[in-house]
Amino acid sequence: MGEVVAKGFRAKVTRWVTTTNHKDIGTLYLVFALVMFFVAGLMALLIRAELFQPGTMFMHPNFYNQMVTLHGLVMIFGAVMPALAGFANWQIPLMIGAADMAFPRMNNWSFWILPFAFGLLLFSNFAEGGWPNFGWTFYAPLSSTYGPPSTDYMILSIHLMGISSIMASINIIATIMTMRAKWMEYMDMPIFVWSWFITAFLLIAIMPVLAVTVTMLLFDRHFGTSFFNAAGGGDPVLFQHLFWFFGHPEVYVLVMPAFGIISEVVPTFARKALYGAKFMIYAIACIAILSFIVWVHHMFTTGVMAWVKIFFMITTIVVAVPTGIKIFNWVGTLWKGAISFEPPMLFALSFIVLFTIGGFTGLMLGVVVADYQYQDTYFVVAHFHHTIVSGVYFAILTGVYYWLPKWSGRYYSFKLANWHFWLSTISVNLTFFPMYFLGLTGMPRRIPDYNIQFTDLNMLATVGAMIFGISQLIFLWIIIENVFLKRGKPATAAVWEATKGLEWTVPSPAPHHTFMTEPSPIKE
Amino acid sequence: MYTLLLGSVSTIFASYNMTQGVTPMSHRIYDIHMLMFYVCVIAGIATFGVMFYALLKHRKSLGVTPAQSKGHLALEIIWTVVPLLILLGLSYPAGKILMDMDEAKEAEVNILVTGLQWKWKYEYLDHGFSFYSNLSTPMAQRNGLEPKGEHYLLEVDEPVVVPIHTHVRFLFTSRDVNHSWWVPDFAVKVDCIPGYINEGWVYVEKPGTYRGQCTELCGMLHGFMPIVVEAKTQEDYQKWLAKRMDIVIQKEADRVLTKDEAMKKGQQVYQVHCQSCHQADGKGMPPAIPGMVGGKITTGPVSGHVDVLLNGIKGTGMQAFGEQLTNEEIAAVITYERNAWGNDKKAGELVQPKTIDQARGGAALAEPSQEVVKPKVDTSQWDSKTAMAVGKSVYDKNCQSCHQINGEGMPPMFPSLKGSKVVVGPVSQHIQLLLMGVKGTAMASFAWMSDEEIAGVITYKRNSWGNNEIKYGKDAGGLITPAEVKAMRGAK
Amino acid sequence: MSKQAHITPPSYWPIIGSFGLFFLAFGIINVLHQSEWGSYSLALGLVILLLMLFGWFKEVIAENRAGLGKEPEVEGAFKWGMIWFIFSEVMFFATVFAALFYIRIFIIPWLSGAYAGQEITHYVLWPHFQMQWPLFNTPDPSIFLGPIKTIPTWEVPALNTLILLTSGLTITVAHWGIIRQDRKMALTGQGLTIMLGIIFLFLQAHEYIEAYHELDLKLNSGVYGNTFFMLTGLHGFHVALGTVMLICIWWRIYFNHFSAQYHFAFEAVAWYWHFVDVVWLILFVFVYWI
Repeated sequence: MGEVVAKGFRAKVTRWVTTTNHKDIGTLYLVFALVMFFVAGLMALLIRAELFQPGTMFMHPNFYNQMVTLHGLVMIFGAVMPALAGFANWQIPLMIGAADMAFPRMNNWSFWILPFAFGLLLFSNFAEGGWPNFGWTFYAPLSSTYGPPSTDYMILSIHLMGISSIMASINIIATIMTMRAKWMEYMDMPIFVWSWFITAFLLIAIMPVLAVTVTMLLFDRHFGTSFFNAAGGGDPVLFQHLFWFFGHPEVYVLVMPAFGIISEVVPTFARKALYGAKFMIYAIACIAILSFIVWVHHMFTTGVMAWVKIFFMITTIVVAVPTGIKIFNWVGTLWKGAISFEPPMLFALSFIVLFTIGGFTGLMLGVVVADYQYQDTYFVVAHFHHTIVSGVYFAILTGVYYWLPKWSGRYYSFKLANWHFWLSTISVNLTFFPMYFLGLTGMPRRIPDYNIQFTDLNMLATVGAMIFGISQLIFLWIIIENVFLKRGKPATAAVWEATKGLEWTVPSPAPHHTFMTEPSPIKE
Repeated sequence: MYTLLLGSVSTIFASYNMTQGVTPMSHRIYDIHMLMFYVCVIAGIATFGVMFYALLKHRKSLGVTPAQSKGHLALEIIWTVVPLLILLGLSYPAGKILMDMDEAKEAEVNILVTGLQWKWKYEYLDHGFSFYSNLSTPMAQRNGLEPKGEHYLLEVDEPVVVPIHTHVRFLFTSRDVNHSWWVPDFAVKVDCIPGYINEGWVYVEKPGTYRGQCTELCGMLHGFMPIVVEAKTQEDYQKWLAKRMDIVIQKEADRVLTKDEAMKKGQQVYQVHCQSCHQADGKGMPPAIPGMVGGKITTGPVSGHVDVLLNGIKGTGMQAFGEQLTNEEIAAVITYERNAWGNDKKAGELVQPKTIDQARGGAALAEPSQEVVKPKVDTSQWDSKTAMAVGKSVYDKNCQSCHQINGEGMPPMFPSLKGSKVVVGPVSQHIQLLLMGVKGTAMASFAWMSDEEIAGVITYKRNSWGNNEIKYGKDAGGLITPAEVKAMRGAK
Repeated sequence: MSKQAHITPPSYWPIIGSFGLFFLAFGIINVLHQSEWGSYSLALGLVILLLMLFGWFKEVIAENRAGLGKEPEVEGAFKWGMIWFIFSEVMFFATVFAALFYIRIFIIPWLSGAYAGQEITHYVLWPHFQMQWPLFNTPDPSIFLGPIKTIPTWEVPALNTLILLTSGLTITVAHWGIIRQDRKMALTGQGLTIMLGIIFLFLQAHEYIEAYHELDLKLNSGVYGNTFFMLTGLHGFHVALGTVMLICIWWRIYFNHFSAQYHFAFEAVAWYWHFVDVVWLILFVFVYWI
C-alpha cells in the first residue's frame, strides 16, 4: 500500500511484524478484524442453524453455550474493537496532519498482542471441558466455582486484550492531544477524531476495571478468595456491578467511533456541512459521561433496591436525549442538501434508521418495570444486535466503503457494493425483527431449544441470518478484488465529489509517509 | 365484517406481543410497555418522516443546490429540552409502578424458590414441606423421535401451586449458580442469587396453568428448567395442600419391588433426572460426564453406587439425590442402571428401598455431611458411638435441665431442639451457637467445654429425637468431630 | 513550519514483547492447572519480557539522548502518555476500593440483617452471621475461616505511612538536584528514596509473614482477608515496580543523562511514585484504620 516494497516471503513477514507505520498497523488491525468477523460470524450462523427448529438439531447444549460465549467475546474484542482501532490508526494522523502516531513502536505492540490473546482464547478448546461456556458476560459463580479450566485461558486472554487496548488508547489520546497541526484547535478537529478522543478516554477508564474484575475471578477460582461468594462475605452481584461498570461504557466504546464515521460520511454525500457540529461533539461527550452512571440497567432483576433502580432508570432513558441530538442533527444535515447515494451513504442512512430503532428499544428496556418482562429474553438480543450489527457493523462498512479508495488508491465495484447493501439491510431486519417478538412472547435468550410456539419466528430469523452471512461474502470479495487483486478504477485524491478534510489532500493511495512536514490549513 | 377483520388483526398482533398476564401488576406493566411503544412509534414516524422527505426531495439528481446552513441554536435547544421533558415525564408512571410493587404486603402464602442446576425446588414455608420440579418432556421428543407436544420444554413433573386472589410471596435463592425465575403471565422475573434472597409478589386473578423458564444462563441445561405454576381457587388449593401434607406425613411403606417394577420405575426416574447428562444410552459425555456402561460405579459394589446417588460427588456435576428422591426411586434407578445397557452381565442386582433406607441411616452417623469442612486431625478414634456416648453424658449434665430429656424444651423460654432450625441446620452454626451462646437469653456460652465434649453433645442433639438427615435435609444429622469445633474456635 | 517529522524505524521489540506476554500468560495458566512445565513457560516469558523492556528502553533512551526528547511535541506526547497511564492505574485501584466499599457498605449489613427491607436473607440463610468489620466471623466459617486478629494500625502501617511520605520529600530533593544540576544532591535524594522504598517493601513482607503465621489473616480468610491482601498486594507490587524504576533513574542521573530542562524520565517516575504514595494514604485510612 505504500512505497515500501518488500521482496520475498521473509522480508514481507518482517515488514508487517516490525512495522511502526500507522497505515501498516491500521491495515493489520483491519485485516485481523475481518478474519475474526468471519470466525465469530460462523459461530453465529451455527447458533442460528441450531435454532432453526425446536428439538436438538445437531448441537450439544454445552457446545451451544460455548458458541454463544465465543461469538460474543470474539465479535466485541476481536472484530469490532480492532476494526475501529484500524480506522483510528489509518485516519487520525491523516485527519490531524500528523506524520504518524505518538508512540509508533507501542502502536505495533498494541496490535501484535491481539493475535496472541485470541490464540489463547480460541485454542483453550484443548483444555479439558473445552471452550468457556458461560456467555460473554461470564457471570460468577458460573465462571468461578463452576467454570471449566479454559476459563483461565479466557481470563489471561482478557488481560492481554486489556493491555493492548489501554496502550492503543493512550497512544491515540496522546496523538490527538500533541500531534495535531499547530493551527488545529480542539474544536477544529474532524468529528471522527473527536469521537475517538472520547472513546480512548472511555477505554482508559474502563479496561482497568475489567482487568481487576477478571483478576478477582482468577483469585476466586484458585486462591480461595470469596469476592463473589456469600459464604465468605462476598456477593455474586458484585461481579455484575464491576462487569457492567466496564460493560456499559464498553458498548459506547463500540458505538462512538461509529457515530464519528457516520458524521463524516453524511455531510460528504449531502454536500452540506455537518449540522450543529458543536452540538454533535457535546452530545458525544454527554453520552460518554452518562455511560458511567447507567450500568445497573443491566441488573434490574438482581434485587437491587428500588431507589437505585429508579435512579438508573432515569439516567438510562436520559441517554436518549444526546443520542436524539445526534440523530436529529444527521437529519438536519440531510435537510436541503444535495443528496447522492453512493455505497457509503447507503450504509450510513441505513445506520441512522436501524440504529434509531435499536435506540428506541433501548429506551423501552430502560424502563425498570417493563424491563422485568424484557430482561434476558430475545428482546434484548434483538436490541443490541440492532445497535451493534446494523449499527456499529454498518458504520464500519460505511467507513470502509468511504475510505477504501484512499487506502488502496482504487475504486471498488459500486454494483457489488449496492448488492451488498440491499442484501445486508433486508436480511439484517429479517434476522433481528422477529427476535423482538420472540422476546415479547416469552423466549429467553441463550437457550439451545425452545417451545414449538416460537418456531415460525425462529425460522425467519435463521433464514435472515443465513442470507446476511452469505451476503458478507460479497464484501469479502470486494476487499480481495480491490486490495489483493488490485483491480478497479484509480481513485483521485479527493475520491468523492464533496470531501473536505486533510486526508483528502494527499494522493490516493495515501503514500507510506504523509505530512512529513506540517500541512497548512484548508481554505473553505 | 370490519370488526371481524380488526379483531383478527389485533389477535395476531396480540399473539406476538407481550402478554397482558393475570395479575394487576402484569396489566400495568403491559400498559407501560404499550405506552413506551407508542411514544417510540410516534417519535420514529416524525424523525424518519422528515428524513425520508429529505431523501426524496433533496437529492442531487433533482438538481438542487445544497443549503449553507450549519446549525440552528433554537432548534438544538428544542430537540434537547422537549425529549428530556417527555422522558422525565415517562419515568414517573414507571417509577410509580415500581414503588407499588415494592410496597410491603401481608403475605398469606410464602414459598421459597431455590434454583439448582437444572431444576427448581419449592418450599412452602408455612407448611414445612418442599418438592423439586423437573422438566418432564421426554428425551425422545427432544431428539425428534416422537412428535413434540404443545408444552414441549414447558412442562414439569410437579408444578408449584398457588391460590388465586391471595398475596403470594415468593422468596428466591439458589444453591449453585445464578438463575432467574420468570413467569411472563405474572410479570415476575427475579434472579436467584446463591447466598442471597430476593422477593417477588404475585396476586393471581384467574385460575389456570402458567408457564415460564429460567432466564439467566446457568450452565449446560439452562434451557431445560421450565417453571409451571398452577393457580387454583382457594378451595382447590386447600385440597391440594391437604393431599400434599399427607404425602409428607405418610411414612414410606417398606415396599418390596419386583425386578420389572424396579426397572420400569427406574427408567422413568432415569429419564427425568439422569438422562440429560448421562444420555439415554448411558454413555455419558466423557470426560466431563462419565459413561455408565460397564462403569466403575454401576458395576462395582452396590454400596458405592448407593453412596454416589445419595451424596453426589463433590466438585463435579453429580449432585446428591438423597434429598430429592425417595428410597423407592433411588432403589429403582440404581436397579435400572445396574441392569440396562448390558450392565446386568457384570452387576444385575435388584436393589430394594430398604437398602437405601439403611444406607441413609448409616451414612447419617458414619461420616460428616458433604458441606462440613474436612477434619484436620486424625479422628480414627472418634466414631459415632463414642460421640453419642460423650454427647449424652454432657447433655444430661448441662442441657437437660432446660431443654428437657425429650429435647422439647419449655417454649417459649427454652426452645425445643426437635427439628429446631439450628439443630438441623448447618453444623457450623450449631457449633458457633454453643461456643458463643445467645445474647440476652439463658443460653450461655459453653466455650469452656472441651472440643470433644462440644462435638459429642452436638452430635447427640443432631441425631436424637428424630433429628436426622432424612427428615431435615443434608444439613441435619452428621457426626461432628472435635477438630471442627477447634476450627471454629479459631474463627473467633 | 517545514520541519521534517521523525520516523521511527521498524522494531523487533514489540513482537518479542508479545511472545514474552504469551509465554507468561500461558505459564500462569499452566501453573494454576498444575502442569509441570507451567513454571518453565512462566519463567521464559518473564525473561523475554525483561529483555524486551531493557532493549526497548535502551533504544528510547538513546533516541532521546540524540535529541529527539527535546522536541516539544515528543515531550508533550510522553507527558500525556504518562498522565493517561497513571489515570488507568487510578481506575485500577479505584475498582478494588469500590469493591471494598461495596462489601462494607452493602454486603455485610445485608447478610447480617441490618439492611432495612432486606432482612430476609439474614433470617433464612445466615441466621448466625453478625455485622462486624474486620470480619472475624464469615457467614460460613466452615468454608472461610476469618482472621483471629488484624494488623494494628499504629504500628508498622503507621511507620510505613511515614516512610512513604518521607520518600515523597526525598524524591523532591532529587528533583531540585537535577534542576540545579547538583549531581550529588540528586543522587542522594534519589538514593534515599530507593532506600525508603526498599524498607517499605521489607516491612510489608514482614507484616505479611506475621499476618499468615500469627494472626491467621490470609488471602482466603473471607472478604476481609481478600480485600486486605488484594489492596496491599497490588500496592506493594506497584511500589516494587516503582523502586525498580527509581533505581534505573538513579543510574541515569549517575551517567548524567538529565539536563536542567530535559529530564522527563525522572519526572514520570516521580509522578508514579507520588501516585503510589497517595494510594497508600487512602489505603491506610480505609484498610488499616477505619
